[in-house]
Amino acid sequence: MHAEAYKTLQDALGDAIEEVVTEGTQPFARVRADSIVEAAKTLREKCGADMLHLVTGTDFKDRFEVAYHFAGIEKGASDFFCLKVTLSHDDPVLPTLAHDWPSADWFERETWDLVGIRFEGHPHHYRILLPEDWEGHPLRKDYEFPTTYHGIDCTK
Amino acid sequence: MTTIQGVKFEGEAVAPTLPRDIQTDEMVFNMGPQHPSTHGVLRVVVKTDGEVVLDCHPLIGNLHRCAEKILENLTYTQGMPYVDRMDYLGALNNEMGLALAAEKIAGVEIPKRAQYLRVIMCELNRVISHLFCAGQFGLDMGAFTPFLYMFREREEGISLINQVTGGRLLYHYIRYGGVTRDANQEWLDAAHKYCDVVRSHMDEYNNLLTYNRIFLNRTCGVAMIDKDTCLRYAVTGPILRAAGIQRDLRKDMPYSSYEDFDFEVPVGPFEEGVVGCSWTRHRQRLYEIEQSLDIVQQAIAKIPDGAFAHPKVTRAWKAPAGEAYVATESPRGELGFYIISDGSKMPYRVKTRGPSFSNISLLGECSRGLLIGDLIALIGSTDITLGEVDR
Amino acid sequence: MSLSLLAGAETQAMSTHIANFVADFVGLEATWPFHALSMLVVATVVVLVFVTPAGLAGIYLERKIAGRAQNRVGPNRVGPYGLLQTLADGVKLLTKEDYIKPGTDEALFRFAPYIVFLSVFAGICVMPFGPGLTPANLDVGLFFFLAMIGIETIGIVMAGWASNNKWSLLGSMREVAQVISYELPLGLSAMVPVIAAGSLSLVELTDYQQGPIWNWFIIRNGYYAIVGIPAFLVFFVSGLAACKRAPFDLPEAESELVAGFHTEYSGMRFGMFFLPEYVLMLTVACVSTVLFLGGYHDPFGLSAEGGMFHGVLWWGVMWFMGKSILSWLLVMQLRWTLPRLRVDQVMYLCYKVLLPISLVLILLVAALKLIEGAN
Repeated sequence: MHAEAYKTLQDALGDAIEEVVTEGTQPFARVRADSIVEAAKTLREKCGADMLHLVTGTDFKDRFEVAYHFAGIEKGASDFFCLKVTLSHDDPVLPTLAHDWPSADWFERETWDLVGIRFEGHPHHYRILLPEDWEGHPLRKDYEFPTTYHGIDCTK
Repeated sequence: MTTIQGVKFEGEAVAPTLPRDIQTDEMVFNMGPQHPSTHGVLRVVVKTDGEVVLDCHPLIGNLHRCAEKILENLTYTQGMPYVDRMDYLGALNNEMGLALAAEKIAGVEIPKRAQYLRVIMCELNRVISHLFCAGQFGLDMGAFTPFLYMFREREEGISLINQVTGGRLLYHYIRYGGVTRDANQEWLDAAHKYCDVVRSHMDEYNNLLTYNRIFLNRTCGVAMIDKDTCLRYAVTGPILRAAGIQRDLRKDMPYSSYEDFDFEVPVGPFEEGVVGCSWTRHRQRLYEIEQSLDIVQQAIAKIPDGAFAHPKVTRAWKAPAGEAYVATESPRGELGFYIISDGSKMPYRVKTRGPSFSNISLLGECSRGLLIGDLIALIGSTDITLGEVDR
Repeated sequence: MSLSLLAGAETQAMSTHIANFVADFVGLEATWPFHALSMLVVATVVVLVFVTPAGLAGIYLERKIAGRAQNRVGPNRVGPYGLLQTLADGVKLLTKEDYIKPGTDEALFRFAPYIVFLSVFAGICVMPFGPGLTPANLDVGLFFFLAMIGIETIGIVMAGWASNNKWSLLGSMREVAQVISYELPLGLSAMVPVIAAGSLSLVELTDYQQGPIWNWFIIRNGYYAIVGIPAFLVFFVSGLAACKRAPFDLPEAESELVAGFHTEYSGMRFGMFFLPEYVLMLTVACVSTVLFLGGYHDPFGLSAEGGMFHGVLWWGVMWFMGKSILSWLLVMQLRWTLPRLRVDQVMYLCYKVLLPISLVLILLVAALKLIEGAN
């Protein structure tokens, strides 16, 4: 099932699909960052993915990876579709899916909040879980725990 | 888009319900974090015109406990208790999700008895979670007594799980490779009997609350969440099924031997109400209680002998390098765990998909035009756990 | 100054006695200031003796009933059977900090509980608790009662407005919306027995139902049942709304408005809202007893003209309180059984269901009265 879906993607998007992995515990298709909106659209129209299940940002020290898991609810798909995007570590930015998939709104805000990946064109691009004035993105591997918060010593 | 108290509101205001020549002002309420009906520390900023909700904006993060960061900094076994704290009403289901995800990476085959024990515990946990939610929804609608009736059975269920797991709400029962303790035949018989007890009380709940005329008036056709909204906002679980979609991961992507059991997934609409209204969601949960009781009794009848944990999976067990995404059907919806492992003793990244997180995100869209009392019905019938929203 | 108008026979005799005694004691003529003052004292004593313990007992009963309804025990620690729990809570309320948050309209905030308290206690003053035992026997007793529960609303609106809290404001606005919807069916259904009896005086309304149970208005002479029973039900339901009791507890709807109009009140100021709530419930139960259930007359027709039973006062009091407390208990049982209506459903019920019914009932009772007169 995955193989078919990712093949369809490859046919539709060509070069934008950088890599397809169908073996292992997490099959996925790696998509170029600027084509993610189109890839998701293709997945919805041609492969029956109708729900954006999860957006995960991961810091791999030398690069960032964003994984999108889609579910095919009405089709009754027996597994999740996974698209991955690799981003540079210096300037992790990619287009938002929030306009086509409202569930991406909060998922992407959370990814921005905790991992610090920017989503261009996101309608509410601000923190969701942490306070507005928080510094840094805690799920980055080089994140340093703050020792003070608003002048309060947190080390004791 | 307007900004009030630092919160941005979007969307067109609902047409005022008053004649044009009456001058009215809009009012902004802070519902929560200390409010009886926000089920925890949810803060909802509500813009109203009198009683009519024009717009509402859920603000979350008050209970953020850095769960994902903590899980990255602990070994696999150490991390298990922390997921209990996410959905504290269905803690066993969280443990199950995390265990399944790590086991999927490692390809560990779990002994059949352990799988059945996991199913029994998770379904009992679902029963007590749904009993809590249904009672809480009655409380939101102003009916106090059904809440305590359901608590009576919930308390029994908690004691029952407590006898095996040693915990009342946070269990630390499921481990990688199996479960921590075996259940003896005596306990299984008691659990079987408990299922009959709960089933015998279902009529009582229904007569007292579900089919009460006032309750029907308050909830039927109120606070609609339709199929399309569910799909767009990634809303899952009882809400999705009450919206008329046959989707239950226990059936669609069976895990932990769910394929062994014969059960029907109830899907709305039911006797009263329409597809996607808050009454249907309430009824959906009550039907799911009965269905869970069925599964528990089947599992007890079929449970095989054998080991209750994989002998090779020790305390210092770690998953090999790899990654896996596993979603399970928790009481509140599809609970996902995405684990990326680099082969070290701690997971490299654990991403959790708390179903409540997505379920509450539709509040802004679905609440426009409701009365304040209906907004309570909407929040109550989506059944969120803030521990899972904020993680 | 027609003092005789203001009191029932027993209370009047008592006050005359006191006035004479005091005047004698200070060596003056027993003129009207003495009578007026002693009247006031007697009325206050009667109200306090009957009503305050009844209110406290009501709170205790409510908790016990709630306990029974919910598989609980209810209060059972303070005193025998937990009887002193309410007193203990009263002490707790008294010793709590009297907190007024910044931003409130202090004068109104302080004054509002008194209005509620006074109007509710004034409302119960006109009740005929027993034969000749009416603290204030007004010719327009029923009207006075309706006016007093109207005034109570002003106190609640003041509380909601002065609190400077949006939930309180919304609660008090709901109360206003509720008042103007329930008062119509409440007043009109009360008019049904009034038309039959031809009086607004609660004592005369009671004596109109003198005799055995088939003289009670609810089933008077059999054929009055077609208006009596529906009118009683309409009155009872609107009465629930008047008491702000479930399923009409919208002004303080806990799960929606935190605590509604008294969100910001703590300590004894809260107590000043809490006790009147129970007294108001009792008042409404009393009025429904007077209007429909024969007041202080027993169901066997044993008491003589005026309600005395071989010159025994407590006989009538027992029946009056018994009947009132029964409907009081029913109100409490409903509270612990039913969910809450939505604000528009309350108005729908009052305007579109209860109001037309009570209008029809008024026509019917007038017709019955005409037919009776013609025969």
